[in-house]
Amino acid sequence: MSTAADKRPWVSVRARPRGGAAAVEAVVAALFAAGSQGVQEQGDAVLTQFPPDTDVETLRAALLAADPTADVAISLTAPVDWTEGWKALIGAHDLGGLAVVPPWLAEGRDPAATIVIDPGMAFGTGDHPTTRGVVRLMQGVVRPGDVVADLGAGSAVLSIAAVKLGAARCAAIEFDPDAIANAEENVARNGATGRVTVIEGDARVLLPLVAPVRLVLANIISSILLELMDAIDAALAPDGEAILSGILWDERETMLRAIEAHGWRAVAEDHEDVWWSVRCARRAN
Amino acid sequence: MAKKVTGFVKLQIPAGKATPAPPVGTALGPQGINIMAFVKEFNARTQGQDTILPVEVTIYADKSFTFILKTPPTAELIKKELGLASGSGTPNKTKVGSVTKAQVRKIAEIKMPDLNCDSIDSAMAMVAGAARSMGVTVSD
Repeated sequence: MSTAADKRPWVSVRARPRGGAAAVEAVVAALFAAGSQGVQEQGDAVLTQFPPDTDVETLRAALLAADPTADVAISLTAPVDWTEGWKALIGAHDLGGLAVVPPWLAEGRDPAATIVIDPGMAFGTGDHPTTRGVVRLMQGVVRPGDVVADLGAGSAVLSIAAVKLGAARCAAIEFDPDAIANAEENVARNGATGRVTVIEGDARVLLPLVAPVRLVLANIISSILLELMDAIDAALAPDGEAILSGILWDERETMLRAIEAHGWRAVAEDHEDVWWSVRCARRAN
Repeated sequence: MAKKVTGFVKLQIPAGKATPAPPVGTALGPQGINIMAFVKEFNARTQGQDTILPVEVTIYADKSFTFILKTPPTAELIKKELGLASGSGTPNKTKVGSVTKAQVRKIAEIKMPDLNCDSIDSAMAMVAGAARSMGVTVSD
């Protein structure tokens, strides 16, 4: 049996069945019968790896019995501990004055300028053009003591950014119950417990409960943003501002018209890749 | 908001038994996704099912990912239906069992969502072909 400390190469198998779908199934079945822990399908080939002790000729014979016309290539592959190996592919990401880093790269960094996000299934590294757009637009907007609401908070990366930039507190409102635990972990990991409150539910219901707020962050999609504009307008303090993102560049004109219709004006814009973000204030301000 | 897709990996894994060792780790690790997060989620969603499950993993630019589970391979369903440990190594010579048309239809109905078939008859023909290739005869 192979162990993590076993540095011997694994036996890598790549088989290309040539007898149609039934032959593919037969070859896959033969791989599992030989003890495979899983099979990758790649185009018309199937791939897997076996531990170092595997009898290669018995394995080859079993595959050719399943499909005598199959191409079978068997080679040796160096073992990699992928429980740790994937981390080497994750770097720090600049978010305009703040850096988003995974926990294993956080040591030695200034906590005030660092957001630590453990990449998981739903939100990954917390790095997306729309996230970057909102954080760039937040620079110089967040004032000490501000109350902020983050709608569609997801991983809470923007809420954490808001308090790192000086906000007194932020309500991280998220509709998806599966996101809540991840958001709370990130808040705790960044020492923002007590300043960022993660709240599960519909922003239209919850936003009035935390109003008035000086800044609303909403990185969602344009159709939802349009639905939320009345609620955002009602929740903003007289000198309040909103930063809207998750908007495609070609939706810019539609959004600008909606902003105008709500008595707001676009104060600053951000464009990266196909994404557009906008900071708005009341027209009178 | 929509995320940019950077990878797509198709695997077949025993339900509830994914591990970060090869081949799951070897297939997903180079994509830069959290292997343990995948393993835990896959095992949680498939525990208690005694079968092989195809899974399609989509990886995004921010290293987040989603996966969808497909129906078990036809050979697995045939083995389960007949209580077989394995198919025949020499399907033309050695027969390991017999499956009825009704059983073929039952398996075809399970597989229909994942088969590129527009009728139950063509799905049944594919199941029957898979049965013959593993040394299982089809009876009326």
